[in-house]
Amino acid sequence: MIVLIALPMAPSRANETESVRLSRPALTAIADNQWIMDADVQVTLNSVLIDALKRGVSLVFVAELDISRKRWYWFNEKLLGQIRSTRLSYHAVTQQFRVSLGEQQILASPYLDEALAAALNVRQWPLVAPSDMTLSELMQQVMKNPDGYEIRFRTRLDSGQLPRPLQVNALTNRDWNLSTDWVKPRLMPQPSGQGQ
Amino acid sequence: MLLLASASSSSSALDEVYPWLIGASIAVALVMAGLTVGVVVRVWRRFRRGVFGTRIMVRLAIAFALIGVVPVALVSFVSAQFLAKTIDSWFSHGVNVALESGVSLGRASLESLQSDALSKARRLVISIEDSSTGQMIGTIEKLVDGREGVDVLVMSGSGAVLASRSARLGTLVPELPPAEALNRARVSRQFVAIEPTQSDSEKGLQVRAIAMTSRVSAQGEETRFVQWVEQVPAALAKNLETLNEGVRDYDQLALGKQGIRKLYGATLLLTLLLAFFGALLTAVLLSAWLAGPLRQLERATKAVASGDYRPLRYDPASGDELNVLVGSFNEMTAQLNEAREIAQRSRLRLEESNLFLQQVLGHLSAGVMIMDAQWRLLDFNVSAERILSLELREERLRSLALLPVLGSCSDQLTRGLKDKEEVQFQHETFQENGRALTLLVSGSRLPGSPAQYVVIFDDIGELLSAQRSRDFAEMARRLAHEIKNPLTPIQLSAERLERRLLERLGPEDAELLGRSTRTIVNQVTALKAMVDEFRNYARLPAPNPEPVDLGRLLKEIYPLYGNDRRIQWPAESAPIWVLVDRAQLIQVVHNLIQNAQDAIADQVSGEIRLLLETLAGSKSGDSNEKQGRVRLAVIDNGPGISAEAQSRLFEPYFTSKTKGSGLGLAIVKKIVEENNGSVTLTNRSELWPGDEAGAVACVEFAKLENAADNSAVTSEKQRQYG
Repeated sequence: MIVLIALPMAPSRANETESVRLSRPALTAIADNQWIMDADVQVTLNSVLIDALKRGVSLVFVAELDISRKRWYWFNEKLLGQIRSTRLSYHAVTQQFRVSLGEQQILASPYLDEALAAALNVRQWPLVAPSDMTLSELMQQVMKNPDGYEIRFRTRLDSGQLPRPLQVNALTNRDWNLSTDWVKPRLMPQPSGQGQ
Repeated sequence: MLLLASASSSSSALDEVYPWLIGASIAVALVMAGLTVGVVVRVWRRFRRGVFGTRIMVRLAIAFALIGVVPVALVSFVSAQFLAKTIDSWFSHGVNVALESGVSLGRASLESLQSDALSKARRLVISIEDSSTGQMIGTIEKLVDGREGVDVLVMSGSGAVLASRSARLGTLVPELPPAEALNRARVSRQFVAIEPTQSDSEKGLQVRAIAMTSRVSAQGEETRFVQWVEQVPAALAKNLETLNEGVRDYDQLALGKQGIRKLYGATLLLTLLLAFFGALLTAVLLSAWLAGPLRQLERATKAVASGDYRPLRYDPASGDELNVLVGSFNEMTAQLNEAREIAQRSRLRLEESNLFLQQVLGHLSAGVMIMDAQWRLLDFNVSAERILSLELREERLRSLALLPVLGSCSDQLTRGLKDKEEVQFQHETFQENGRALTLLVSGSRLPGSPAQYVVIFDDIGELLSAQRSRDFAEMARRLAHEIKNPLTPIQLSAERLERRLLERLGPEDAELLGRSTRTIVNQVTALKAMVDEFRNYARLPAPNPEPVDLGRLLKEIYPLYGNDRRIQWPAESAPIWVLVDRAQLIQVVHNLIQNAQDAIADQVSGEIRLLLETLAGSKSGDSNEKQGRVRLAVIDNGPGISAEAQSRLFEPYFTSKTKGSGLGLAIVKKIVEENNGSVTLTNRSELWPGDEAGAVACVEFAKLENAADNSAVTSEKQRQYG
């Protein structure tokens, strides 16, 4: 029974790590109290996802960034956690891929690569300070004691936002699960900011 | 389940928890499955073991399960079929084709818009190639020709806006083309695209067409872009959007067909499973609940069978039939218990009275036998065994006629009791060892049916012999009195006759006279002696008991028989004290030795042995219970005692010998009994089985334990006898 379940999982996991790749994640300070997140995410959608997309299914990609203080005795204390979700959809009549960030449409393109890049690449995502401290305080603490804190970032396909019938598929089929591993972004404090 | 169903059917906030719902349902189903399987297996095992109540329980469970499961299965089957058909019916080919056609139509219309816009842009770019800015405006207006929603922008290669026309009044300069579009236009000299627009109220579409021209002039290469942006008419845009949404929904639905089927299928299956296990579980539990009181009753019945009369738990508030049954059962057990107690009490009473009767019977000296209607032995007392000297225990239920000893009187009894209530007679019979037995037998019929008989008998042999000896003593006394008186005159007369006549007679006659006279005198003397003996027997003085050491007494007697070498005297021992009349005891010993000497008179190797021994105190004794007994035995190896003689040995004037008065043993018995002792005379083989022939005479007295008691006992005895 266990073997039967495990068998189909192993290869699809291998595919998954190949199909989505995260590179050059970086947290950059652009001013006092202003930090931005950048990351390149390359993804090759498998045929199942492309088919779904072409049939009008919106894919929601979520970028997640956490900063937490490590605690040996309990779960880590989350100091900062923010998410950015982009929606990639296909407009059948105009044959365009459209990407929206929140309510705002940021791209309409007939090319999937363009749309994917717009949807997945994180560009100048501003960090929002937690309620009890300023951003620079937080980052100073983090940089002072890198081992005591954990900063992590990932991007994934939010299968919870899929239409319900497809969610059932997503539960059982690994093709629907698309996620990068958690990575630690590079910290680039001021004044080395090379903002464009 | 309800949540699951509603989550399957509608899109709502439940969407997010849907996987959890499925998981939870599966978990619940598994738990219920486990539970059900456990319960079913348990019930099945008990059924196989044949535990009471499980048969009906299983039958009920199967019935309930069928009632529950069959409809559920039916409904599920129909639902599944219905579901599959319904889902398939959503996706008809016609709809698909229609939607695709719609999409093509939309695309075509957009394409025509695009090509229109592009051609306009191209015409514009060609027509304004040489014109100045002022001319450009005119050309633009001419081309636009009053069409609404058209923005036109002419810009140089360096990005400077040369001329523009805006559809919206508020904005003078229309939006600049995006860099991407310009780049594309540079490459292919033209660019056209449909773009979504976002106004405040609704989504719209616009066509952006860019045409490029480059002309080599004096100032160098001059590049110009013309951007023609035209709003797609709102109605068309709206329709296209609607079409897009419709297509999207339809496609998504088609894509999710499998998922939906899975979803509904899973929901249905889970519902079915839950219903199935629920039904099974409910069936088993319900049947257990129904069969529970039965098992309780059964257990209680068994308990009653083994004597446990505790009532069952009874709920008077509940009016169901089983409870009523439990109530009646409790009532029944209570009554049973009461009846049993009454029976027990009466049985105890009966046992007590039986015990009492038994004791009475046991202490009765007469033998009692109880016979049933067929004259078979039912019960008896100890005395019966003693008198008959039989082990009657083994003779139970044996017919009276077949009983040894008493069997001979069966005819007399049965005949006598046939028409009378009571019968009494004297019966002579023999014990198994040949001893004669004189019984006074009385039988009576017990009232009741079937009839029972009581036979009471007593050994009156001793009574008779006592009677005889009393009669004899009386006779002897009178006879002695009557005979003794004339004896002296007879003797005197004879002597006088002799004296007077002796001188006158001749020698022959004188001798005859002398002889006759001697004979008369001798016989008279003998007669006198005999009469004296009779009188002695009749007038035996009352005993005067005192402590006597038997060993010493024998030693005193010994010299009298010193010349008789056949007598073995007992070895010397510690003093053995008994309380007897000394002189009388000496007479007893004399008589017994005399008797033994007579018995071995004809024997060549005759011998007599005197034995003095102490017997352990027996429990069955009377007042001398705690005391031991002392036995003086005189043993000879003579011919022994014949069976006929046995019962009359001690009767006066009974003798088996040629000489003797027949009073010796009678006197022994009289003395011994008056001294609270007992005497028996039996064959040696009877006392010690296997011993040689000969008789043994035993005299037994109660032993005096110690000298200190002696005086007290003596004085007591004296008071008693005084």
